[in-house]
Amino acid sequence: MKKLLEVFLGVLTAIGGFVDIGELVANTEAGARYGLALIWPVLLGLVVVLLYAEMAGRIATLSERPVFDLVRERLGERAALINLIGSVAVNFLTMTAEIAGVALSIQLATDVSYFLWIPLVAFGVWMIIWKVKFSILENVFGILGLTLFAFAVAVWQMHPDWHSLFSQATHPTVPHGEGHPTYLYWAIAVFGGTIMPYELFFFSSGAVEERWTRKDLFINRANVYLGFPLGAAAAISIMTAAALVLKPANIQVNHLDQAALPVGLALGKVGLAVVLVGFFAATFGASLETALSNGYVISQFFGWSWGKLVSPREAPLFHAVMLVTIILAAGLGLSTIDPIKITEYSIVFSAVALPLTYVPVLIIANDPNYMGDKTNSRMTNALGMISLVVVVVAATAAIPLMIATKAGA
Amino acid sequence: MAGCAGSARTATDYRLKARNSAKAALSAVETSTLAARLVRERRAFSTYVSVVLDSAERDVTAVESTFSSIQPPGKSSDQLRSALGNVLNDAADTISSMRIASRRDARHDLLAAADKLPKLQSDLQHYSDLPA
Amino acid sequence: MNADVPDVIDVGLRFLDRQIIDCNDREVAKVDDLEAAFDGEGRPYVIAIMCGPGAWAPRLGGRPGRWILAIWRRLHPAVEPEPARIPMNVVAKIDSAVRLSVPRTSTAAATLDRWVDHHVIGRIPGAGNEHV
Repeated sequence: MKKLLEVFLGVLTAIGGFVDIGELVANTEAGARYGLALIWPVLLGLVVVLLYAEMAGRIATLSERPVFDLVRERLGERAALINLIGSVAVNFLTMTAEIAGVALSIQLATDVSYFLWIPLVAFGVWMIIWKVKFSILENVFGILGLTLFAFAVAVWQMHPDWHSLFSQATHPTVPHGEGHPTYLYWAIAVFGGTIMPYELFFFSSGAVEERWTRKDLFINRANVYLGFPLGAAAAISIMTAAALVLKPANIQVNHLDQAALPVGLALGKVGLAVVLVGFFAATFGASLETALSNGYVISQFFGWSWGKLVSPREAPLFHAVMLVTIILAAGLGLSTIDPIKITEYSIVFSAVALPLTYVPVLIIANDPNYMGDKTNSRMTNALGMISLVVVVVAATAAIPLMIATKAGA
Repeated sequence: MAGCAGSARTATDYRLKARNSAKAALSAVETSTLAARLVRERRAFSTYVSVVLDSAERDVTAVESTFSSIQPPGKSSDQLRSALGNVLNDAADTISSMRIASRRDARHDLLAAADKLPKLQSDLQHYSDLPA
Repeated sequence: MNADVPDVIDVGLRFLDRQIIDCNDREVAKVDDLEAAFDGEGRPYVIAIMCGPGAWAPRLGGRPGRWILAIWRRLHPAVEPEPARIPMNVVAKIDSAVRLSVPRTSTAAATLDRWVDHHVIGRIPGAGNEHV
C-alpha cells in the first residue's frame, strides 16, 4: 500500500514537473502561430526523453552514481570539461528563465512588476534549497503543477472540432506566408522545450541520493512511462488552447500573460486563478531543479561533496555554487532583457546541448562494468540510436536556423 | 515582432515594413479585444487584465515608435506613413485608456474605450494585407 | 599490503578521474593525477593521489590548461604551490570509487571546501551543526 502511494505520488510529481517555462512559452507561441502543426516535436521529444530518462534512472540505480560523475570517468577530463561548460551555461540560462517565470506569474496575480518579485523569488529558491527537505516540496510543486490541466479542461469546454484538430496535428502544414526555416526553427524550440538537459541531471542525482535499489526500478519506470506522457498531454493542451483562441485572432505571443487568455475566456475567474497557480508551481519547481542541477553537475565534475539531503556544512562547495548561480541568475533576470527572449534562447540552446548529455548516457547504459546484467536491450539501443540521430540533427540545425530566421521572427 | 527599424530603400521595402508593423499592432489590438471580452463577461480579475493591457500597450507603442522612425524612401511613401501612423497612434491611445481604466477598476470606462477596437482592427487588417 | 587495494592496477582505466569518498561516505574530490615513484627494479608504483586544479590543469593540456594552471598559481597562498596530495596509506579500498580511511576534512584535497565552509557557508544561519 505504501509502495503504491509512493508510485502514485511519483507519477503525479512527474506529470507536474514535466511542464516548465519552456513549454509555457514555446507551446503558446507555436500554437498561436502554427496551430497544431507543431505537435509532432512534442511527441518526438516525449519519446526521446522517455528512453533517456529511463536509462539515466537505471544507470543511477545500478552504478549508484549520477550521470555527470560517470561522464567524467567515462569520457575523460577534457571532453567532460567541455560538456560541463555547455551544460552549466544552458542550465544557468534556463534557471534565469524559470525564476523570471515565477516572478511573471506573481505579476499576473498582483499587477506588481516582475522586477520587484525577482529578488524575492531568488531568495525563496535559495531558502528552500538551504533549509527545507526538498523531496517533500518536490511533490508539492509537482502536484500543484497538475492545475495546468485547466488548459485541457478549457479546450474541452470550447467544444472544438476534434476531427479538424486531429487532422491538423497529423498532417502538419506550414501556413501560407510562413517560411519553412522559421517553421523548423520553432519545431526545434518546441522540441528543446520538451526535453531540457537539467531534467536528467536532477532525476539521476535524486535517484542516487535516495539510494534507489533494483526494486525501485519499477518505480522509476512507472514515474517515467506514466508521468511523462501525461505531462506531455498537459503541454499539448497548452498548445491546443493557443491554437483555438490566439491563432484565429492573429495574435503574436510576446508575453506570458497571453498564454492564460484562453483559460480565462473558457473557464472564467476560477479557471484563471487555477492556471496561474499552475504557472507559479511549474516555474518554481523548475527553478529549484535547475538551481540544484547546477550544483550537481559542477560538484560531480570536481568530485565535491553534494546532496540535497545533507546539511550545507557537509557540502559547502555544492551550496556555494548554488548560492552564486542563483544570485547571478537573479541579476540577469533584473537586467532589462525580455524574459520571454531568455526563455526562447534557453530552449533552443537546450536542444544544442542535448547530445552532450545523451551520448554519454547511451554509452554508459551499454557498459556492463556499470550496469551488470541490466545493460540496454537491443530494442532500447535501436530506439536510443534513432533518438540520438534526431537529437544531433536538431542540435546541429538549431544555430544556423536561429541566425537565418533571426530567432524565429 | 517590433524589431524592424532602420531605413527602407525602396517603396516596396517600405510597404513591407508597414505591413509588419500593422501585423504586430493588430496582435496587440486583438489581445486587448480578448481582454475586453474577459472584462465584459466578468471572466477575469482586474490585476490580470491590467497586466495583459500593459503588455499590449508596450507592444503597440514600440511598434509605433519603430515605424515612425523609418525614413520613407520617397514622397510616394509619405501618404502611407501618415495614414498608418495615425492608426498606430489611435491604437496606442485606445489601449492606454483601457489600461488606465483597468488599473482604476473602472469597468465601464474600459469597455467604452474598447468600443474603438473593432475599427482599429479592420484598419490594421487592411494594412497587414497590403500587397508588397 | 591491504587486500582491498590491488597490487597492480591499470591507472588509466581504473584509477584516473575516479571519485574519492571518505570514511563517512561523503565525496572528497576526483583522482585528478597520480604521483608515482619507481621501485628498485624500475617498476612504477603510486605513492599519492593528487587533486585540484594544480593536478588536473596540466593534464588538460593546451592553452586552457596553461591558463587555469597560471590562475591557480596566482591565487594560491603558497609561493611554490603544489597540488593537494592524498597519500596512498589512507586509501582503504578501490572499487567503483577510491575509498579513504579518514574523514574528508582531514585531507589536503578539502582545503577549498574547508575555506568556503569556514568563511561563507558555515556563517549563514541554519547551515547545520554549529561552528567548531
